[in-house]
Amino acid sequence: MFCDAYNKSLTQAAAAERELTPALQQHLFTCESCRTAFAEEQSLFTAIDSSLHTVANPEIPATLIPRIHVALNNMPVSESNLSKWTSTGALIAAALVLFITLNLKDRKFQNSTENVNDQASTQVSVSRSGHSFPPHAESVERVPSRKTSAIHPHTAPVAMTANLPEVLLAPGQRETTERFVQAMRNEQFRDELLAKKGSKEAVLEALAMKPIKIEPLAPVSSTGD
Amino acid sequence: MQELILIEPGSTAPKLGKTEWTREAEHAAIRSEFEERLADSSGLAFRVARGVLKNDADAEDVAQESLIRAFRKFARLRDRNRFRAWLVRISFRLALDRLRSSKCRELREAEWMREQERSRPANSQASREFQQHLERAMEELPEKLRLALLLSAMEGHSLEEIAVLLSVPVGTVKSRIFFARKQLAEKLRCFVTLTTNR
Repeated sequence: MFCDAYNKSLTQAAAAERELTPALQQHLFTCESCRTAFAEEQSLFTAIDSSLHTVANPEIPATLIPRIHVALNNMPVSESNLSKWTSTGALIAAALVLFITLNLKDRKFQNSTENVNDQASTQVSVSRSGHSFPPHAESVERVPSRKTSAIHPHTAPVAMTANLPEVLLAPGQRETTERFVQAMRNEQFRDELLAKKGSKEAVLEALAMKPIKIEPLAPVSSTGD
Repeated sequence: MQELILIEPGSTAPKLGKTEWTREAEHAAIRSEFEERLADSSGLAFRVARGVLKNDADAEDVAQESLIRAFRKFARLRDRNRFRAWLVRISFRLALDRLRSSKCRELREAEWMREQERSRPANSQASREFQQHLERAMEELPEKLRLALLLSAMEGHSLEEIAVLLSVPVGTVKSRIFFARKQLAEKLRCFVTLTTNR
């Protein structure tokens, strides 16, 4: 057993196999108990090292390398990893370019449609004051959120395409709106419509639709009363 | 090992496309480079596995598997000088996985006992017992400490080489070895007293 004052430093010195400081040497010279304990500690580490050496240095079996050669020979010559990675990378790059191109094209189309839509809706709102609305045109609201994921049962199919605004429609106006959106996709028609923007009647006639009444949705009671 | 292709008389070239030729050539080059390292590294993989598994047959299986895995991914290894470090990690991981498969554990230990009897008949009973205790104590060491200690006990590994193999600074290697030895000493102290008292 080491003396308390030297316990830590003597244990560490034995574990680290480092030379003793003069102070520790002096203490071991004078203290027999520490000297014995230190000798025991050293023999413990010698035993550990000796066993460790046996454990860590076994003879390498002569069969090992021939076994590996056999295993390597039995491996199929597969496509090398390098070319596999290169071809995968090329495929991903091509897909990315295609995606970006399509996306840009779609946005361009969407922007031009939006411009026409905005102008057309201005025309429609202008026409509200002078017309009496048909009974089936109950309420229509244009939902500003363009990236909403919830799809309302009255949402037109055209609005299901992710890039178009979502539109809530009265049951009777679905067909008209679809026709309107289809017509807007025709570039020539759009140009003609823009040319007629001065005359609200001409716009409505070209669209073959009745004026739309735009008003906020009435709050619905959650209790269903 | 060089691979040769037999061309039949009358035929101008074997039926291989350009890409296949390239692939074959790439494979041959990789294999040749890999085999240059095989003699040097197979022993390392075996010893690391043996240090964990305590059984020659299992260690040989693990060493083979490690080297086959290493070969499969050899082309992806950017710095080929890191091959031995990479192999040590693969081998150590695979050996630990195999050790953890509890089904084989008992069989392995029984085999190990028989092997000990065969290989060291001159060893004293006390020494064999101490070695068993040491190997059990090593199993309880944290993985990082165990691998550092194992590599340090292997012939021909300086602290600097271990640091390269483990991709850590020399100071870290020193401290891992120190703490590993200290923990082993704590666990084995009573056995040394017992064996010396006998």
